[in-house]
Parts: sequence; C-alpha cells; structure tokens
Amino acid sequence: MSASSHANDEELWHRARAGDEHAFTLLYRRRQGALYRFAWQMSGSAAVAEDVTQESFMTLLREPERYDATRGPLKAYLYGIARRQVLRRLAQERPFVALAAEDEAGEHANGTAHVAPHDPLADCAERELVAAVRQAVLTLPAHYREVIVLCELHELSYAEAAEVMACAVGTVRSRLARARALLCERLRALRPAPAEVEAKRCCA
Amino acid sequence: MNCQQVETWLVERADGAAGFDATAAQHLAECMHCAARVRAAESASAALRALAAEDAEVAAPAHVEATLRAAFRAQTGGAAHTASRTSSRAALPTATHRFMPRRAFAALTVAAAIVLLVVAAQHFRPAPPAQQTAGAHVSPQSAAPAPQPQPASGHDDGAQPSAAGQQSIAHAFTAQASRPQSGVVRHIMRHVAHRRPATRPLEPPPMVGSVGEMIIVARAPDAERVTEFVPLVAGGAPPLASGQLVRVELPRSALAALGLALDPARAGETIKADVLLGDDGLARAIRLVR
Repeated sequence: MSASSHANDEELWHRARAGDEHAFTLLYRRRQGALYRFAWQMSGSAAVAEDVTQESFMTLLREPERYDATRGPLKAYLYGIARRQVLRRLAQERPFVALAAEDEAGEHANGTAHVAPHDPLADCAERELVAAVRQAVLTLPAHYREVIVLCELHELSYAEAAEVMACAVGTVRSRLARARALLCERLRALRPAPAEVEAKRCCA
Repeated sequence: MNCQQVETWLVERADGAAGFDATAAQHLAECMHCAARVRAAESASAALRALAAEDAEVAAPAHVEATLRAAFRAQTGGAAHTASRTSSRAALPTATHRFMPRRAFAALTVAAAIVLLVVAAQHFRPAPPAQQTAGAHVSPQSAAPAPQPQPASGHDDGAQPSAAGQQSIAHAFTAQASRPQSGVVRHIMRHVAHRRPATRPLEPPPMVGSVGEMIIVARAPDAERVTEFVPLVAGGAPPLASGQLVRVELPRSALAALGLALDPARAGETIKADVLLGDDGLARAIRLVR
C-alpha cells in the first residue's frame, strides 16, 4: 500500500492542487461513496445522487480557494457542498411532500402521537424493514432528514454534523431528537398496525 | 422515573449517554405507553442500522470518476497553460477549461477515424498485376477485384515498386499543394489560421514548402513537409465552428484510402499525419507529414 493511501484528505487535496492526479483520485475514491449515499438517502434518486457527487467534486475543482483547512476538515466541506446541492434539488423538484404540515406546530400536543401500540417492525423481513425505513426517512422534512442521515446513517458526530449543516451543536441535538420521534411515527404510518391496541398512559 | 423522565432518558440513551438502569426498567414494566415508546425507538434505531448496512457499499458509478479525472486534467492543464500565458487569458477566459475535456472525446474520434481508414485501406487495396505478386507482399484480399480509388497523384499504387511508391508520396507532398483547395479545406484552414495565433503565440520556424495559410497551421519545431488537407467527410458535414489539429501516426496502408500511392512492402510502416478535428469531435480533414 502506497504512502498516498495513508495520507489524510487535506494532504491529498494539497497534492491534488499541485497537479497530482493520483492524489485527487484517491481523495475522490475515499469520499465519493459517502457523498453519493448522502445524496441518495436525502433524495431517493440515484440520478440526483450521481449529479450531486459529481458536482460536489467539480465545485471543489472549480473553486479550490474556497476550502480553508483551518475552518474544518475537507470531509465536512464536501458534505456541505453536497448538502447544498441536495437541498437545491429538493427545492426544485420536491419529489416528496411532507405528510403533515403540522409537524412543526402542535404535533403530539397530548403526547399520544409517540405511542406505538405495537412494534411495527417486529415482523418485518430485512428487506421490508430497509425499504420501510428508507421511505420513512424520505418522508421527513428536509432539516430532520439531513440530521438523521448525517448522524444516524453516516455516523457523524454532533460537531461534524453542525459544521455540515452550518448550525450549532445544540440545534443538531434537538433536531435529531425530534427527527427520531418523527421517524418512529413515519414507520408506524408506513406500516400500520393490523389491529388497534389500546394504550394507557401511566401517571406514575 | 416518570413518563417525562423517560422521554429525556430515551434521548440520552440514543446518544449513548445513558444505559438501561433499574428505575427505567421498573417504569417500563408498569407503563405500557412508555414501554411501547421505547420499543418503537429501538425498532427505529435497528431499522436505521439496517439501512446504513444495506447502503454501505453503495457508490457512485465509475463514469463519474472518469468525468472528474478528465476535469481534473483539464483544470491542471488549464492552470499551467494560464500561468505560462497570462497575456492571452483575456482572449480565452473559460474556453480552455471547456475545450480540454473534449480532447478525450476528440482523441477517441481520431482513433476511430484511423481505424476506419485502415479498414478502408484494407478493403479498397487494389489487386496487383499477376507478374508482381511473387515479389511483393500482397494480402489475400488484394487478389479480389476491388474498387480502384483515384490516386491523388495520378499514380497507380499497388504495382509500383518501392522507389516508385516513395516517389508517389513525395509527389503528393509537392504536387498537391498546387491543386485547387476544396471549399471545406479552405474554410478549415482559414479558421485554423485565425485561431492559432491566439492559442500558440510561440514562433517556431515556419515549415518548408508551406502554402498560404498553411504556414500558420503547420509551424513546428522541426522543419516538416506536409501535403494539402484531404477532406474526410462529405459535403454534408456540419459547419466547422472551431477545431484543433491533432498529430497522429497512421499505418502506410491507410494511404490507399486517401488515394495515394502505396508500396505494399512498406505497408506495415507508419507515417505521420495531422487530423483536423472539429469541436464536435468529427474529423474533417487529414494531411500527411514528413
């Protein structure tokens, strides 16, 4: 294994800027999968994911001076470009409409919305489970979807996600908690219970 | 622990900051609502892990990498180009960056054109007279009757001995210059003549035997002799907006397809040629270089 493969992103990019195509290729191969998956999980479209991946690196090539290594890792910078591209696409195409506009206001006011009368995934086969959760993620509002994708699927830390999303760590934390709760609801909505089970709230 | 505390505990647990302690277990045993809430959260978490695992190997298609590498080459090439020629940057602000990725396609087109020329040369190779087949290297196809291309120099090719073949090619380098140029070739040369000074300000010595506008086209470090351009496309070719000259090496067997004399004994050798490519990647004309 060459020394190049051990170099970090910033070193590879530094060499790429000096004209080292091998370094650029290594950097691309290291990061393209994550960007592609991010765009795919955010949009549900392989075509969009492909475009976003390509455009993210093209942006890096076109405007290399915009990346400042002192402000954060290249990984977060690339995620940030991909995120903007995806959000722009989502705004243009709107392939998925939020199921309930009232998500932001008044939801779960009585607390019952979080009650899952039964485990909707308990009897799911693996593929059905994945398909259901993919669909559930796609039905989340974009600002909840991205935090789920970044923190849960891509396992970014709160700090990294905050950098990508250009917001505070506390915002990431609160959005993620809300996104998880919404996801539970979406999963239940996508796979409704075969029979209603009465739930009683405990006052203990 | 009460229901409200369970909500907080669930968030902390999802963040990995809290475990499953006795108080939580006791509450969940008593409260169906919270137990269902916890089960749903755990199911969602497991589902997300399954999704992440399912997508772990998903990656962008290979052609994205190819596109980006081509763009990288164009970018770095363009940067070097710009650094060495800051004076002409204003004249070509972005065309260089856009133009360079096309070179890969253009190179492929040249290769395809060469292959076509070789195939055509093999197909249209004229049958040599019977008395010379013993001494000459003749392919089996040449024995079959084939359409005889019009040699530009007026020489018959396959039957020519080696010296005569050389003479024919040499004649092509001189005599063709006096032949009237076709409209397409004149247009091409006019275009290149107008374009080249902007893209190649260096002034190497002009070629020997140049004719008119071809002087500008054929400047090279070494003195070279070139034939006139031979159009490769019919009259219905799309108009040439801009293009570039690409130096290639052809097998001599391709000369027959251009209507030039060919020594069969040297058919395996190569000869230099300049192919004029349009920006659309279509090879418009070719000339030989010696």
